[in-house]
Amino acid sequence: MPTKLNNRYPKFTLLVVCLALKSTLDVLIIGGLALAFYYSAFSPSLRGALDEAGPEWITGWVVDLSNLDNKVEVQLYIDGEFSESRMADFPHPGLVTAGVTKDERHGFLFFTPPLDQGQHEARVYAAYKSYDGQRRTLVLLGKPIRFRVENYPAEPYFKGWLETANAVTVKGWAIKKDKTSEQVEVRLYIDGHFVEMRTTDDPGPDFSSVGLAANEKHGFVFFTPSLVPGEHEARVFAVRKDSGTQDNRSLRIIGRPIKFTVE
Amino acid sequence: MITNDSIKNSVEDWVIAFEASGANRIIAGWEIASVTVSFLAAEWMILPFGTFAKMLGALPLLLGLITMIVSHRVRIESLRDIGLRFDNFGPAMRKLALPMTLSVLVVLMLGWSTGGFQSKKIQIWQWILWLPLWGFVQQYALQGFINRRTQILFGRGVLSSITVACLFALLHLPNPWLAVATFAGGFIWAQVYQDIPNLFALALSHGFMTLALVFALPSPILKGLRVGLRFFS
Repeated sequence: MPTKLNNRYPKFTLLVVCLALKSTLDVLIIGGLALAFYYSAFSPSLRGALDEAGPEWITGWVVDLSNLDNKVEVQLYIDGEFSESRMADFPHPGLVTAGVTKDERHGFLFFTPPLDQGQHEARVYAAYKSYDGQRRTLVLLGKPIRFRVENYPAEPYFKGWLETANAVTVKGWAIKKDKTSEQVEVRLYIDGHFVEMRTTDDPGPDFSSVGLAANEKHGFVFFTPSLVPGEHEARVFAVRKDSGTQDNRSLRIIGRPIKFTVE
Repeated sequence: MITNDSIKNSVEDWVIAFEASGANRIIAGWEIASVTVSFLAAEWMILPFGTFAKMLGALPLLLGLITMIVSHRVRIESLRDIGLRFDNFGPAMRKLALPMTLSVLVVLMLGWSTGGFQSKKIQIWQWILWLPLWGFVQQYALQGFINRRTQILFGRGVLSSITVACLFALLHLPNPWLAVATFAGGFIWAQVYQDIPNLFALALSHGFMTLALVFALPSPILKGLRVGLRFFS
């Protein structure tokens, strides 16, 4: 500032200094608040990753480094839509081997819901609570994984049919075409959510007399879980295994979906 | 007698005056921005976050107040200059009468058309007494400080009044109807203040107009007069 100006307006220097100090404090206060909010809402102590995602299951792990005993809630999103949530308490021995935790139960496993044929993306988030549960934030674990679903019907590998589905039971049968004596692993999905898995070991129709199978034990009966009143849809899939890895296992829908009503 | 030295001194004085004017405007703009940032920080970042945050929210407001007081002292602005006076209270109220009457009619018509007149808050006398006090605080900051500084930037007139109105509306976002009302009110009050600076008259007017809004308009429109982040809660 020119000397004569400063002589005429000496106190303007004080005002400029005051404004500069205030602006600095404003930046510090706002910056500090932003940092405090970030650390309180997003918990930098969460570590995790998505290990695998495919048409059958989605697996990974998550650990809260600030509290290793804490089991973290994880949420599965498929193609941007919420699918399922559960606690990450599935065994994951790799964490102990790597020295991350002493307890291996920090993994998670979701059974992939039935999806249309084509490419899909799986994301898993850790749900973090702050402010005494008033706020929940989702932290993405690792990177999303894209996978392909080949959602073919049971033919040509299986013969089968979904006979009935109601509020009490879901019944049907399935036979492997190339090995008719073997039981088939079948999975029940209701409203797109995995419910239960079992093998076909119930006596079904007289398969042997009609030459469909070597024995009668190719039926399945699921007991329908408790559902809210309303309309629901049941789908049953046969698991086709080739070499045992997920890439060569596929879900093949038996028959057609059945809608039923729960009163 | 005109000499070379006298010409040189008058040119130098002119340059100083010109620089003073430019520097003065820059400082005035900085003051406006600084105080506005304080209010925005309080309503968007601090106050929405609960009881402890209210104490923390006092900090930017306190810094803003200190800035305003230092500025008043530096610019040798007396309480009378700012508008803390009673000699022009009557003329200020008379000048406000017509715009207030028209504004109240508009608000009442809006209230009838939107199914208003259902607020229970007007039965709380403590809240009604608080309105002119809170109006005084707002008018001091808006007219006693921001308006005076925008006049340094743009001179007296419509441009500076619109600037005051825009800043007032900005501080009442994201509440859309409140932003509209405060823009209109801010412009009228700024114009009146520039003619007849009296904060007490403006405070009463502010309180009365707030009462009219709450009385006439339904709560889905006013959203409880919430601004900043609290508007979304």
